[in-house]
Amino acid sequence: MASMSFKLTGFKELDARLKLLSSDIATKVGQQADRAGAVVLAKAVEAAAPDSRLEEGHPMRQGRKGGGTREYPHSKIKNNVKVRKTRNVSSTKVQSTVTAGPAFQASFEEFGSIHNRPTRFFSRAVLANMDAAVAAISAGLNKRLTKRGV
Amino acid sequence: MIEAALTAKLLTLTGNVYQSAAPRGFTTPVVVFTRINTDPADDLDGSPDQAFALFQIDTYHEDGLAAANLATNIRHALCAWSDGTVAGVSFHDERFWTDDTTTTRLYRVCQDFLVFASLD
Repeated sequence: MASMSFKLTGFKELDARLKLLSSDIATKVGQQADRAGAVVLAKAVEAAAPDSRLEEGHPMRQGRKGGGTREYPHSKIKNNVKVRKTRNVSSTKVQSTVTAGPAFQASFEEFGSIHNRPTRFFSRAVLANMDAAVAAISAGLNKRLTKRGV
Repeated sequence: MIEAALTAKLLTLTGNVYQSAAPRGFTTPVVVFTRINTDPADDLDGSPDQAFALFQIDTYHEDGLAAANLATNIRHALCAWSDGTVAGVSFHDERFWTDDTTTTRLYRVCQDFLVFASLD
């Protein structure tokens, strides 16, 4: 899915507070706050996700290019929007990812295919809730830093 | 109408241009475009007649290099586009994928363009 970035201010003050903690604790605080922001986005994506008539686990069949079929249980997008802690290439950053997990059809809904039009439900929901996500990260950082007395 | 103007512009580059999805029995190369979003320009005189329209343009071909070349031609043509209907086009993003939903694997270049144009 598409990646998004946010503009945050007040880094000097935040950096000063984080430096009062050990590296491990500061990283944990950052991860928890980052996750809080991602959860806001995940809820927005879940609310915007298209909902088919098929129930979760409904048996599905997919044709293979070489012949034959593959059977698999249907995964609804709404039921599978999750936040995962993912590794950033930089060792100084924390990162969370909103994913649709096994509901692979989410990418066909988002970006379309040669057979169906894109809806961009995912990126629309993220863009519309960027401010709320930043607010959640900010509140999360403040709450966890205050709890640790810094 | 932006879609009519965009269709005409893309048809100068390739013969198979469709809106939203390709029909059954298509032949490659295929270009499919979809208006993703419309942000009307503020107009104090009444109903807005211009808008920023975000378009996703997908180029499909069995040959990855051919798909990339056609997508490059589309990017060049659209970024230089300015006339009575379209005031300007900015290039936003480009992704290279494969589409395995057809019998033969297709290479796909998915591009986003922001078009400032007349809605009428």
